[in-house]
Amino acid sequence: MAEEEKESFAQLIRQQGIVAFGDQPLVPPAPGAHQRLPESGGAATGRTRAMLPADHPDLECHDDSWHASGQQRAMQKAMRANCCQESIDLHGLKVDEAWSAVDEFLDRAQQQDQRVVEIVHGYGRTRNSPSVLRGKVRGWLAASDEVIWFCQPKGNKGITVVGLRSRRRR
Amino acid sequence: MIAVRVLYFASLRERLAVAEEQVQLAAGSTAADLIDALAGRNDLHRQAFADRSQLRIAHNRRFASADAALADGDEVGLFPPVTGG
Repeated sequence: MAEEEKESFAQLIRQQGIVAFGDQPLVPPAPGAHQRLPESGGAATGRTRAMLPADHPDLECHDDSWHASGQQRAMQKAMRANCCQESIDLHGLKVDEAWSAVDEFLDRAQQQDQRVVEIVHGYGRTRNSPSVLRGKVRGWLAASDEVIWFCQPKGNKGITVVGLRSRRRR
Repeated sequence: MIAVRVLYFASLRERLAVAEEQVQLAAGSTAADLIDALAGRNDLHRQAFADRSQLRIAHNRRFASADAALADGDEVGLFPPVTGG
């Protein structure tokens, strides 16, 4: 295999978030590298709209769940079914980087009609110092018109599962 | 009396044609009292806050319930209800 092909293959592996292959450790992916959703139908899907309120990025929400009117059953059903379709990991990202990453992730998910996705923001370093990103992420979600519910999976404060409004129904 | 800064977001901002304003309230008021006061201003405000049970409220940039107690100088962000699925 040519060096160029090897590098191309290694890059592809990193993009998929694979950090080890057998006994061979691979270079950890850069933050955000494994968070991209596949392009639908091979066509490039450009950024179409802001999913989060750009004019108020310092919002916080410390509730474990929230739902829009009439969406409680949909939320409970999705959580029972564990039907999360895509995930983004925010570990290693600063707040402003996380904002952009989540905004882009939700936009792409909605373009591909993903209705239930997952955001991994972490627990925080200690019991008395909860994840800063958790409160921020949930604040952004609570302020978004495109989010119809969000919920913390039972026993896992490091994750928020998000229900997205369908773009096809408009 | 207390003065709170009220920020309007998304369709509320468009509907009321105002991004923010200062509102005077009686001491001891809650976010629900603020919304009642706003809704009582005129027909436009009454319609804008008709579905107030689903209104999302950020008190000093933290999402809170309508019974959050307000103090002088506080900031209250109001987000319209999310509809559809």
